[in-house]
Amino acid sequence: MARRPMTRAGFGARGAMQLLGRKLIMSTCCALLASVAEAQGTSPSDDLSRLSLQELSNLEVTSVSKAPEGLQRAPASIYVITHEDIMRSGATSLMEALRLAPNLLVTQVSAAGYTISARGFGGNPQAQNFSNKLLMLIDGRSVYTPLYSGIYSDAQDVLLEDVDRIEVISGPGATLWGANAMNGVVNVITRPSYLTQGSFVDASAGNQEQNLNVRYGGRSGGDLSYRAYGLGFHRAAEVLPDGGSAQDGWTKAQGGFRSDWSTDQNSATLQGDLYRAAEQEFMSTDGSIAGANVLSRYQHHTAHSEFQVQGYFDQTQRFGPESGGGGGFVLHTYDLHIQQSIEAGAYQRIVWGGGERLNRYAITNQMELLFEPERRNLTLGDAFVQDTVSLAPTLNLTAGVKMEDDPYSGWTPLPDGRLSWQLSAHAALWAAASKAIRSPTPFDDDVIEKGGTTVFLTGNRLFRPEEVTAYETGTRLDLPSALSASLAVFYNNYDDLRTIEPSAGGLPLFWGNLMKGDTYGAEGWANWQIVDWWRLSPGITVLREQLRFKPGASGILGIAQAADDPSSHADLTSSMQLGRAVTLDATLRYVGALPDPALPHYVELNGRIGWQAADSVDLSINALNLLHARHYEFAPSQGGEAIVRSVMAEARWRF
Amino acid sequence: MNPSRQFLHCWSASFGGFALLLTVLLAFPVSAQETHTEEAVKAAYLYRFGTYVDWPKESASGDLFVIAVVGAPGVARELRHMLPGRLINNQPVQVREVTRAQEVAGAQMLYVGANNADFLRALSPAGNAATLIVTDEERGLDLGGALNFVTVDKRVRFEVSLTAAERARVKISADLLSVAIRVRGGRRQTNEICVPFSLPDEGDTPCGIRQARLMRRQPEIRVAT
Repeated sequence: MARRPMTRAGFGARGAMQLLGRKLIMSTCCALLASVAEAQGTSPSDDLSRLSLQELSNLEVTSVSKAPEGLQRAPASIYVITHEDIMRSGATSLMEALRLAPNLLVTQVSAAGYTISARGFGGNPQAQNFSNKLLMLIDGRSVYTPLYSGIYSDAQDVLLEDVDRIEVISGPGATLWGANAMNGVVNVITRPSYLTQGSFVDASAGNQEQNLNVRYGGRSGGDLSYRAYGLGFHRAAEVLPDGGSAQDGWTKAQGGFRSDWSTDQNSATLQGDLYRAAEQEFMSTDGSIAGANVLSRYQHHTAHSEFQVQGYFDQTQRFGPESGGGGGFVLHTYDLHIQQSIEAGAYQRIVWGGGERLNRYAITNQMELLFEPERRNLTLGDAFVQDTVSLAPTLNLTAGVKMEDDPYSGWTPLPDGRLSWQLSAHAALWAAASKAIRSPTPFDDDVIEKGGTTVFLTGNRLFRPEEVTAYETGTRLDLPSALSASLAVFYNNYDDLRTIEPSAGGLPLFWGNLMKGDTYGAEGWANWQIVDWWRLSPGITVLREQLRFKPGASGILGIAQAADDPSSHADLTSSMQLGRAVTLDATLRYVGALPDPALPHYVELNGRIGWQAADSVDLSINALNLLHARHYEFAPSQGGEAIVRSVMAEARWRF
Repeated sequence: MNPSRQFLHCWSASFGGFALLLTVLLAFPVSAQETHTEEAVKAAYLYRFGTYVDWPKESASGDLFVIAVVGAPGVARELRHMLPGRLINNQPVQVREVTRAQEVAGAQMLYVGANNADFLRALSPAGNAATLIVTDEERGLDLGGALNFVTVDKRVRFEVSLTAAERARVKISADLLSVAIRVRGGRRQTNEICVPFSLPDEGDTPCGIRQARLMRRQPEIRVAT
């Protein structure tokens, strides 16, 4: 009885406070909304027109990231990872940055090992099938190894600060880029040196990695600019299924330069890199990789034509641990190509070119893995022409063919036809049909694998290229204010995929071309700028594979040997600008289950909280694989290790 | 207390909280006012370019200074908002959105928004009119632009082709060139980049000679101090 008034009084007071609180909230809401409305109603351009050029050039702008001309309208499935995307992703390596492309599947196998694939065929290492249907170029230099076909992920580092963009093209690109651009092409493009002026220091440290990046850019006169950079890192070992360390930590040091010279109609670029890394091996001494490259490009351009000569030299070597037999290789690549594009009249654009590549390699054979011959010179010639014709103001037809003279299989035509239809300023449709191959390598032709003294597998001098005929169609929307989206569907018909066949007496086995099949699927993504400080970017890829053996095939290792791909993967990126100085970015990714060898699906998160502490200083906390202490991306039976959550603090200083 | 009321209470409290959160989030653009839209900054640049460039006398097309804009409605809108009451080349400014190359005639400045390389290619035969072409393409200068926007590290910068400026018979001031991210080509004239910028203006004397004179003067200055 006595408590009741108290309660009442207490309740009353609380009620009044709540009322007051709600009123306060309401009025704050109204005031803030009004100020938002006001801010949006009055354009700030009044103030801007009073600013000097110098002041304008120091203003930060909000912008919807956009791809350069040509890419936005290209009749192909292209995703562009921008510089800004990379800087805000928390990625500290090229491979982690590639996770931003929804049409690419990036799989971390070990501390230094990643595989990347598009539209399937991510490989099955147990069956000695690697992810070998995707081509990658860094500033026009192919980093696809001609020895076994595939990409050595640990040899491909760039200073991410200097990367302008990464173009990820899913679907064949053989007519322009040549063999092995079978399911896709990744083009890493660094900024010209006149855009990377001044000093840059970037240090980060966390539980799994420590990185130090430095760069200095300068210019000499108005026409010549240059930069030099150095990077070094240590990445800690991942974990084995039994919980013990995989002992595969690695340390790398790399340096390089780029200089650009340009006048009215001519420009020239000279760039190079040099690197060395030591990689721990399980219960063994360290393996080592080292390499160097230098590339030179000259361009002459007028309003209606552009001529380019590009040459490069690339040296790559890698050696396994002494205790593991000490096998390895040294590979020298010399490449010279010319290309010209001409606007022929108002309705035609012709691109033609050609060149020659020489691969000289020397393999150090091991007891049980030999190549015969172990050193060889492989020359690869090619010539191509592609014509884009305007059939109507909004309808373009592109047709082209590359003739490639492969050292193993001779001349192969790689044709491509594309149609694009610009429905309006904001929507386009495209369709394409093309053919591409994965060309044979020493690993297909010259390999000898032994168990003790018994030869159990040999290469096949009659091994044919793996072929694909691809049909794809897509649409691209680019609404002026806030939304852009892309959707593509594809149907690929593969033939002559590699199999393992027995010889007359059973052993040795040898490589055959007795698998074929179809894949089909869809990939789509969108960029939605919800408000000017918040962008959401979802992306998804679905894939179905129907592979089968051809008549006469042994069927050894089953069709699973060709690939172990998830039937879908998806990601969602949220990018927030919280006030002037704080950014919050996160990419949630889902990768579906792997069928055979089986691995459950996984969900992981990469992200970054950044704080621009001063004009020239960015501080951030980055996280890779934040959701689980450990997770698998590749089956342990395939060499997949448990990938450890990585959290680090990073400071970037530009001056 | 009535459980439904309690629920309502809870709900309204959490609604209040949510509303507060939403408001705070929506308020971020207010605090982010220091960053501007790309369109607004580019429009401001176009106006500023106008004040740093001299057009030949004969280019005055009537009483108006005409800025033609292609494929960039946002920039055109910002320009229209900004320009009333302001002069370029001592003329009131008119913004004209165009879609065809023929419509450019008579404009002193042409801004071609991103992804319109085809428009620039169609334009170049007539490119010797006194029209300052401002582009927004990766290869804008190769396509005939005298000024080209380049967005680097969230900042809008620009590069200059003096050859294209000469072709348009306009003179670009040294102050503009000193802010450019790079300056390409052209016979460097009196208003070229000459470092240091404090070098005395000596008419047609080339930069190198002016610099050499400065170098020779250095000892005298030292003696004097």
